[in-house]
Amino acid sequence: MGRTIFIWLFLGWSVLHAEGVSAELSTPTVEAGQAALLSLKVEGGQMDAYPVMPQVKDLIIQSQGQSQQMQIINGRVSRSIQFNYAVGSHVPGEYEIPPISVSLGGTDHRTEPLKLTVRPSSSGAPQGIGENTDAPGESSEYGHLSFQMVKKDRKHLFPGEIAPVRIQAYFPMNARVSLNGPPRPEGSAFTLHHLSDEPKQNVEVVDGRRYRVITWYGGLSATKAGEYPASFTLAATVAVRDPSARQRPSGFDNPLMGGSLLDDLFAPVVEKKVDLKTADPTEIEVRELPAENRPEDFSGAIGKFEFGKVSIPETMMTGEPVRMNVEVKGQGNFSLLQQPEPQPSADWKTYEGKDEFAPGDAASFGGAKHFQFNAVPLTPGERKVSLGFSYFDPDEGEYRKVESVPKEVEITGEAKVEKEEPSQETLVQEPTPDEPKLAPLRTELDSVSGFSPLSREIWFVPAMAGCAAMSLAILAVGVWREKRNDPEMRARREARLAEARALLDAGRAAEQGDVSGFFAAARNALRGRVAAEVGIRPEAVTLRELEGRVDEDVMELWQMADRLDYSGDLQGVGKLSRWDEVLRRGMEALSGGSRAA
Amino acid sequence: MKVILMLLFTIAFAQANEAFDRANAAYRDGRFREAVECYETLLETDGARVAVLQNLGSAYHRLGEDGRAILAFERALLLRPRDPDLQANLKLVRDESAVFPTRPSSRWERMVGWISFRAWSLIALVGAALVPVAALGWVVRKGSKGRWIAMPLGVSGVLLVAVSVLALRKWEEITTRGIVVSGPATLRMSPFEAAAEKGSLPAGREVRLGRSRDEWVWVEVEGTEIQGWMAKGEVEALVPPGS
Repeated sequence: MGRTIFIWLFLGWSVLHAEGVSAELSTPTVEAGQAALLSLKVEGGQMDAYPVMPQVKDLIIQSQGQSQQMQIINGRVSRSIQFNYAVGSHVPGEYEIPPISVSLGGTDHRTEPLKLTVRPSSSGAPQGIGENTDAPGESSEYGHLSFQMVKKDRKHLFPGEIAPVRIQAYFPMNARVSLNGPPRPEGSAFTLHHLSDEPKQNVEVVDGRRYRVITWYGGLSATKAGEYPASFTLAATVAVRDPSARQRPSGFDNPLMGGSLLDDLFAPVVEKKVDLKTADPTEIEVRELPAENRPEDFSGAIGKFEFGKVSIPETMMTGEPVRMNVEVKGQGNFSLLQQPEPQPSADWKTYEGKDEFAPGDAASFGGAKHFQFNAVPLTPGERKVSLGFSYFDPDEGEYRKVESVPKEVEITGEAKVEKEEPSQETLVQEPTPDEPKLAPLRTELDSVSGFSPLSREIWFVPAMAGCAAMSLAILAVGVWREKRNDPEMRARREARLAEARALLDAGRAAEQGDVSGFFAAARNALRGRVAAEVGIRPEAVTLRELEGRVDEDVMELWQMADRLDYSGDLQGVGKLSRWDEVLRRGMEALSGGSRAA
Repeated sequence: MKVILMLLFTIAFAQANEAFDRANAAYRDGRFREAVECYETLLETDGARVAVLQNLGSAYHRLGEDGRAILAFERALLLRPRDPDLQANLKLVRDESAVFPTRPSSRWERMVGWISFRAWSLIALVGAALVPVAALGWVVRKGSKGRWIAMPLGVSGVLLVAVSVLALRKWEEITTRGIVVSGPATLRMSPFEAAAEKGSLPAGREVRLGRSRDEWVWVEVEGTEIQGWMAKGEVEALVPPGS
């Protein structure tokens, strides 16, 4: 709709510079059922209405859309619109397309008449253009899918091989398309790998019709031997305007108001989920990999590979590992390409290293794989060292062994393996039949073992939990013991005991009226409390430690106890019950003070 | 009681040894089918042994049943992962059947596969036992250099437990692996005989087993988009059921 409005706006403000109308056919001759592209070019001027195509018996002329162009050359602006039509017929013969009339700014312009020869169809069946015999919603209305091997002459595959392919989806230009996933192989014989995440998009004209083309690249691999059609499917939601579904209101038949241009504008949008499929899929033969001449070190790599950069140290020592850096480049299933081995492999011990693949294309078909690994030379001497690996060449259908350019290397040290000289007996032995080289049979019966790990046994988790609990218990006991033996803690404990004893004695002395006994016990109780709170020995507590912690009465109680100790004078002591209360108050104050602190 | 148990064990071992020798003799005489039956019976009655599994794989290979041969070698490798004879046999049979791995093993997978899962569980137990021993040393040898021994001992124990537990988590994945034993095995869209074919897998191909329905099991080939329903008789779990 946006495009139609744009064209009307364009028609409205177009300024005449060089008015003119021309028409040409892409080809003067077509087969019945096929179409030629008729291009009607309108340059400059304000177009009063869309061009009306003349009616010719048995000739079918279908609009294929239009395009506009603006050029500025030496400050001169020229504008043009090109209308495209597919022209053809089912009936062979000579046809003449009369002059096409276009009104520009009130002036009629006419094209030259055109001639089209329609030959009988070689296939005998009309196809391609003409009446849309497909019901709306058929996939042909909404696009189609094509598949090609990148190597066009390849018609066979080997299981495990990944062959590069191109899949293209064609959608009509006026369609709004939403893909519901990538293309998928139909059936079971093939799988797609490394399909490009961001397919390319471009516009192509096919049989006079413009298409938006989406192109994927990927790798095709076969799952089983045999001959199978390589057919693919693509799920998409396509929305197109369907003029045939429009219910045109009366009064809009005026060509200027409701002609063919507004057909598009008011035509309802038909949206449909479609599965595009490849028409006439190519038959591809899937061949088994030959068992003959299969190298021992063949790891499944299929394609074409060669050595890139190879780094081998110049000096080595037997038994000492050296680092090899190797690059293998080419095209094929790099995932199955394993690290090359130094040659001859019996003179080396190699370790599996690391590798990294750098893809050279979107489908990860071509690229380079870098290997880095350690190898240990086992035999000394000056020699040429090369690396080698095997692969299968699918084009030639044979296995190939590749070796890198040999490098002069000096290997010092002593031989780490003894090469066995063939004994006389071996030399005269008859050649053994070609049997599989399996390891010899085991003759000693070993112990029975279970497949499942012990962690599947019911006792495993409790045993582990038991160990953890035991560890925690031991640590807890350790912490407890440590605290028990701490001198400070011990002093506190003793102080509390002394305090409790002293309080008991003080209470008893107060009941019995034993003045000196009461005061001595009261002072001990206060000492015990202070010692427990401060963390010192009770004997070390003096009146000084009480200052600021207790009231004056308690201080007086302590002083009275001291006076009785030194003089034994009981005068002015007063009632013991009062001092007992003072003692209780002092004890509370000391506890409260420490809590507050 | 102990003597009776010892006696029973000796008798059982002697019987197993005799059956094993009989199976080996059948193999050497070229009676591979008979050898296979003897080895299978021995596994069923006596339990899994590396020697029996290796010889069984060789016998299957000589019968041309490479899917079952690969299964036997893979099972033996679960018990003894770095056995060179088993590795060589497996590679030979795989190469001859053109069944190559679909993806390389990661460094962690190679590390886990260095020893058997049973060994990993033993390491976990040893690690767990080290921790209370270290705690006891810490408590008893307080204030002396004994603590310098107890500390690394305890940390080592915890590390051993952690690594082993991580390695043992891989077992869950191992139990979902299967080997196609009779190929080419057909993959179907739905779990019934008349369903459309999706592809086929060669004997010996390693697959991941999914849910099962009646006589069908869902299989996927790791690293590819190949998946579908396969008849249960055409694929066997790598870890024998009930083991």
